[in-house]
Amino acid sequence: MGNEDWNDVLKRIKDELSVLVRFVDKTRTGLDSLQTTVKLSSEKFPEASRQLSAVAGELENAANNIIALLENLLMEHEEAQDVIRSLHEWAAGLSPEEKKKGAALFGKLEGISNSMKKDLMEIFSSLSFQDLTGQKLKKVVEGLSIVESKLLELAINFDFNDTIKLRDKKAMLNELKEVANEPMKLNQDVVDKILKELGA
Amino acid sequence: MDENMKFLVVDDFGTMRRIIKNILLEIGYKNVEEAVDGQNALEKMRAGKIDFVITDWNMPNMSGIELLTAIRQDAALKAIPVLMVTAEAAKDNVVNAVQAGVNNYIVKPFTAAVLKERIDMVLSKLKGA
Repeated sequence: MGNEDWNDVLKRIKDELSVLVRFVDKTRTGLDSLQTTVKLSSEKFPEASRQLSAVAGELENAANNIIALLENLLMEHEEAQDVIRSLHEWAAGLSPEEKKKGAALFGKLEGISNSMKKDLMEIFSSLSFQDLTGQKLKKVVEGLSIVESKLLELAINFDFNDTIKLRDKKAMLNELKEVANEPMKLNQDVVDKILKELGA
Repeated sequence: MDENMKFLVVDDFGTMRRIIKNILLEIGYKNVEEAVDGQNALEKMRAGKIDFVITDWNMPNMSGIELLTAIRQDAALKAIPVLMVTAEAAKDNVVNAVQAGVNNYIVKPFTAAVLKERIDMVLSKLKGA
């Protein structure tokens, strides 16, 4: 092989190497930003789940307080009904003219009482919103939990700082696999353990 | 209407159990027990006489449909009427519930009148059978 041929080969190798170096550099930068994204997401998702669970809890407390008040109102309504019944008995002894006057008043009173009871029961039924929103929030929290586990899986597989032992890696991935079947199982301890191993 | 009928309300949400319980009291049924999921419901059903079950669909441990299936497979419980009260209005779910032997199906949110109507419907159908 002549000198010219060698120069040509060396030039081609140099070109190939610079492409390779650029690729490695680009990949490294990409991985760095991915690491930041995974770290950030791993912190943000549990926080979002916690906030949503807190909202569900607040809604449940509020609904329970309203129900307790409604139950009191229903009891008082029942007592008011007893008073109306007693008044009827008392009115039985009145003169026909007074009875006629009283009948209109009793009619009005009973109308108000019935309408009040109807409204109280309507409020009861409306409170089922808590159950409906609670179930929807639970589904969102489950969804977040799945995304979070996928991100952690990604972080373990890439193991940016090469800190996790192969055996631990397998155990962590198995733990995350279980989350796919039962999303709510991804508790904070599992997340914290993985983040700690990753040095996050 | 038999006021002494014993109802079992099964729902993991305490609020919903209280709502249904109060509606049943208002309708005139004074004997109401509560369970937090299917498993808890089965325990209560096996421990005491339950005449009517009102259950949610989505529950941890044992869902409403699993509870329904377990009831229908249990010789001592299979005749007990089951009313499914759920947010799941998907056609497949209704079909599954009917195939599993549900007596009626109510989609949340519902009114006291609707609950009464469905209970009456189930009871009169059973009486006629």
